[in-house]
Amino acid sequence: MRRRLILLLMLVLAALAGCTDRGLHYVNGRVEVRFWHSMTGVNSNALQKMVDGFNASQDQYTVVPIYQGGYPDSLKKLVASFGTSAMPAMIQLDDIELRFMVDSGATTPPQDFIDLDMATSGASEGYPSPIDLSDFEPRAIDYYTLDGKLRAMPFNLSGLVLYYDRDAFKDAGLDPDRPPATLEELRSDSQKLLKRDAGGAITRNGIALSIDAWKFEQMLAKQGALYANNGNGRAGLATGVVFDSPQGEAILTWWQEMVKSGLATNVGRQGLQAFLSMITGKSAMAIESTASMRTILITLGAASARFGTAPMPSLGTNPEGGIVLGGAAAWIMKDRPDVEQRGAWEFLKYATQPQVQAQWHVDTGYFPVRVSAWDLEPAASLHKQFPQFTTARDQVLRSPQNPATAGAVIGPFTQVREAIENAFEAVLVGGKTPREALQEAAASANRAITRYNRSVQ
Amino acid sequence: MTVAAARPRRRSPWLRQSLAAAPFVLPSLALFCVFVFYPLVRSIWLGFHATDPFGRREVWVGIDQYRDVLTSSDFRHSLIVTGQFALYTVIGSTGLGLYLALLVHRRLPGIILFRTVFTSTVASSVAVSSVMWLLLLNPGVGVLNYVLGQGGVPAANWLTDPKWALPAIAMTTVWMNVGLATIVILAGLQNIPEELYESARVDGAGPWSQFVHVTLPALSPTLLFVSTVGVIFAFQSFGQIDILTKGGPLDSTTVIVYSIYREAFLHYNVGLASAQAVVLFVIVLLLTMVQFIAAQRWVFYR
Amino acid sequence: MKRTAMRMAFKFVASVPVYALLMASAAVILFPLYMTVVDSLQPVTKLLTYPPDFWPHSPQWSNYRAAFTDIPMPRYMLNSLIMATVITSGQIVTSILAAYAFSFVRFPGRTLIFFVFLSTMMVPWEASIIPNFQIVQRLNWLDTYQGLTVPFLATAFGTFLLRQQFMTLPAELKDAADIDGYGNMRFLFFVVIPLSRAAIATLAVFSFLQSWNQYLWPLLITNDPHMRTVQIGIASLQDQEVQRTNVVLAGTVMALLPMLFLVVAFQRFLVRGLTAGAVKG
Repeated sequence: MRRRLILLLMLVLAALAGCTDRGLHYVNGRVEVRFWHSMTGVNSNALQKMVDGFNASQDQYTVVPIYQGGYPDSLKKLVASFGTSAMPAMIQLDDIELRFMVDSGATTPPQDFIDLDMATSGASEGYPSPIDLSDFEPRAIDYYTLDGKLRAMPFNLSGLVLYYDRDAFKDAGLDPDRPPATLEELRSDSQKLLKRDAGGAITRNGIALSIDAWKFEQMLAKQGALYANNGNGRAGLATGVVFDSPQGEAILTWWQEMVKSGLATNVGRQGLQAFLSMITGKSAMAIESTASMRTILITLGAASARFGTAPMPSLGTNPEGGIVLGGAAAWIMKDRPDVEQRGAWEFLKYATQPQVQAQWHVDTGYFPVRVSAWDLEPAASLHKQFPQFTTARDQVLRSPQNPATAGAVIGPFTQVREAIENAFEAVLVGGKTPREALQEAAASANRAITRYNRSVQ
Repeated sequence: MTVAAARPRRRSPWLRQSLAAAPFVLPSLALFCVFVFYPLVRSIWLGFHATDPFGRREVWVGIDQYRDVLTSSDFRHSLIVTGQFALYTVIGSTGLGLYLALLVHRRLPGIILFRTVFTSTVASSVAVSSVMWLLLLNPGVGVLNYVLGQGGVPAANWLTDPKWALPAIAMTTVWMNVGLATIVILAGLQNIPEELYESARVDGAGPWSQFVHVTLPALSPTLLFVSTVGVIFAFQSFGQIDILTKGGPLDSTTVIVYSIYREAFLHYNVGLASAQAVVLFVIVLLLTMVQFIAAQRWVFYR
Repeated sequence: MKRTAMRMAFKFVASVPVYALLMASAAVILFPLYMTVVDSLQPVTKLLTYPPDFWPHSPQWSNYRAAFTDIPMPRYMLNSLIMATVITSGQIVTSILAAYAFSFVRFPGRTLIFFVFLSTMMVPWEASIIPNFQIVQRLNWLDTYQGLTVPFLATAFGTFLLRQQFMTLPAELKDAADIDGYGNMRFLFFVVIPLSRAAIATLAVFSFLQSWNQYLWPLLITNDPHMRTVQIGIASLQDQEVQRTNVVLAGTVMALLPMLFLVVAFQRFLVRGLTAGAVKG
C-alpha cells in the first residue's frame, strides 16, 4: 500500500515534470513564433490583420500574437520568463525600456540580422533580401540606436496631438480651423470655451488633462530641454535626471494654473477619461496619443467629424525643440531557438514593408516606420478623408534631430515616470509648489537610477 | 555486515509509529516545507541581499534594506494606508452585515429571498466586483455621481482624488465582503437561545435593551471573528487595488501588499521587496497574537 | 375568527415598514449587479452618454454571443474550474490524511507537528510570494496548471477543520476497528469519511470559492492567454477591450452566474465552515 503510494507520487511528479519542454512548438508543421504585445481594441485587431498577412505570405512560421497587458505588465512577465520556456520569441515594449533591455543582455539586436542578411544575400535563391534602413523613419532609428547598433525594431510610432471639439470652438466664437499652437494660446482659448450654468457651475471647460509623464517628456523636448544627464544618457550612462529645470517647472506651473482656474479638468492618469470628458461634451480639448485616433473614429462613427486634431501645442517656440519619436519597438529574444528568432525577424521585415505600414497606419493611427508609406494607399486616401491624420505627419516631419528629441535613455525609466506622475498629483491635488514637487521627483528618480546602475554594473 | 544481518528484524515502536503516520502527514508537511517554510526563510535571506533586475546576482548588504524599509516614509505611509483600509472595511462590512442580518433574522413570508439577496455578493469575485464598480465610479459617465447628483451631492473623482480613492476602494470591498459577514452574523443570531430573550422580556426589557444586553454580548464572539477575518482580508487585498487604482493617486491606495508587488515585480527590486514582505509577516504575527489575547479577555462567554 | 383576522391584518400593517426596509436594502445591494447587467446589454455608445441609462431600451443580446466567441471567456472559465477543482480535491485529500493522523494515529512529535501545521496559518501568502514565484519559475511551471495549483494543495485550515470533526467521533469506533483488524486506510475510508461528509463538503465549498477568487498568484504566473483564469481574464479584458466594455461586462455576468448558483445551492455548508472558524475564536 505504502510503496504503491510512493510509486504513485513519483509517477505524478514525473508526469508533471514531463509536461514542460523548452524546445520549439510546431503548429501544422510550421514553427510557432510567440509575439507578446500590448495592443488593445482596434489596434489589436490591426495587429492580428498584419500577423495574418505574414502567416499567409509564407509557410515556415506561424506568428502568434499574445496580449500581455500594458507595456510594464508585459515587461514584468518577460523578466519572469527569463530562463524558462515561457519566454516568447519576440516582445513589443515601449521606447523607455531601451536601456533596461540592452542591460538585460537577453536580446538579439536586429543589427545582427541585418548584417547576416547582407552577408548571405545572393548566396542562394532561398535567401531573403536584406532590408534598407534608409527608407526608415530616421528619428525612430536614432532612438533605438545605442553604441552604434540598432537594438530593437521600431514597430509602432505614436505622438501626442491636440484633439479639439470643432463645434465647441464655433460655439465659443473661435475659428475651428485655427486651433491653439502654443500652451499660452490654449489658455486664452480655454477662457472663451469655458461655459457655466445659471448657478455658476462649470458645464464645459477648456481641456481635459490626463496625468502622463510622457506628456511632460514631450513638452520638455518641445522646448529643446534635456531630461537626463550625459546628453540624455546617449553620450554616456545617465547617472541622474535634469528635468527639475526652469523648463520643467514651467510645464507644471502652466498645468497647475489651468486646473486651479477651472480652465482644465484633471482626469487622473487614464487618457481614456480625457476622451470621455471630451466625447460627453464636458471638455473642449484633450492632449492625447495618436494611438487612440482610430479607436475614436471607429467608436464615434460619423460623429467623429466634430473632432479636429492639431500638433501638440508647446511652451514658447524653440526651433531646436521637437517631439521624441520613440513609440514602441519589437525585441527578439536571444534564448529562443535560432529558427524562432529567424521567424521573428522575417515577420519584422514583413511588418515594416511600406505597403504593410501604410495599412497599419490607416488601421491604427500609428505613424508608419517607413517614410515612403505616407504616400502609399490606403494611407494617402485616408489623409484626404480624415485630415486629422495629416496633423500627426506634419508634426513628425517638422521635428529636428538632436539629443533632446532623440529621447532619454535611463534604466529604471518606469520608476522615473512614476516619480514625475506623483509630482503632478502632488501639485494638482496635494497642494505642493511645482518646484518642490519636481525636486522631490528628481531626488526619487536619482535614487532609483543609482540603485539600478549599481545593481547592473 | 554480519552485525547488521544479525540485528532483529523487528522495528522499534518509535520507528513503526512514525512509519504508520508518515503517509498521512508527509504530503501536507512536504508541501508546507516547500511552499511555506522554505519561502519564508528565503524571504528573510533575500532581505539581506541586493538583487539585479534580471534575477542573476544577489549581493549581501546586511541590514541595509530592512533599515530602509523601517525608516522610509513610503513604507510607513503604506502601513498607515493599510491600517485605514482595514478600519474602513472592517467597520463597514461588520456594521452593514449586522444591520442586514438583523433585518432578515425574523419570520416573514419571502424572507428567504431577501436572505439570498443579502448574501449573494459572496459569489462575486474580486475582478468581477472591481469591474462592476469601475463602471459605477467613473467620474464622467458613472452612475454613482449621477445618482448622488440627483440627491444634490456634488460629483467626486472617486478614483483619482487622493481624498476619495481609498474610501471608494473600501466601498467596493465592503460590498464584496458584506455577504460573508451577513451569513456569519445571521448564523450567530440564530444560535442565541430564545430563553435569553424570554427572561429579558420578563425583566421588562424593551427591544433596544434586549439588543444591547442580550444580542450584542451573545454575538460578541461572532463579531470578533468577522472583524478578524476582515482585518486579514484587508491585509491581503490586492486585486481591487490593482484593477481600480494601481496604488494611486499619490500612493493613497498603496497598501503593503501592493507595495511589495510593485517593488518586486514592477521595479525589479526583489531584495527590497523581500524585506517589506518580512516586515508584513511580523506585523501579521503580532496582530494574530493581539487577536488571540482579545479573544481570551473580551469575548463574554463560550 | 374575527380576532385572528384582525391580528393578521395588524401583523401585515406592522410588517410594511420592515418590507420597505428590506426592499430598499436589497435594491442597494443589487444595484451594482443590476447596472452591470443593463450595461452588458447596451450598445457601446450608450455607455458613453450622460446622463446614464437605467434600462436597456433595445437590448443587444449579441454582446453575450461576442463574449462567448470573440473573447476567450469559456476558456478562462474552464481554467478557473480546473484550477479550483484540482486545489479543492487536493486540499480535501491532504487535509483528510493529516487530520486523520492527528486524531487517530499515535506517533512521536504529534503535538509539535500539529503546531507546525497551525503555524503556517500565521504566514501570509503574500509574505512568501517572491520565493514561491522563483520556485515555480525554476521548475518551469509558469503557464501550467501545476504552477497554479501545487503550492496550494495543503491547507492548515482544512486540516484543523476536519480534525475538529474527527475528534467528535467516539474513540470506541477506532478500538472496534482495531479489534476487527481494520488498517488505518480501511478505517479512514469506510468509517471516518462516511461519517464526516458534511464537514468535508464544507471544506470543499470553502476551498473552491477561495481558489476561484485567487488573483495575485495567477496574475504573476500566467502569461499565455490560454492559461488565464477568469479573474485575470476579466481584469485584462477590461484594459484591452476599451471600446467594447459592454462585451467585457457580458463576460463578467457570465463569470458571475455559476458562482451565484454555487453559493445559493451550498450556502449551508458555507455557513458551517465559517462558523467553525468563529467557534475557534
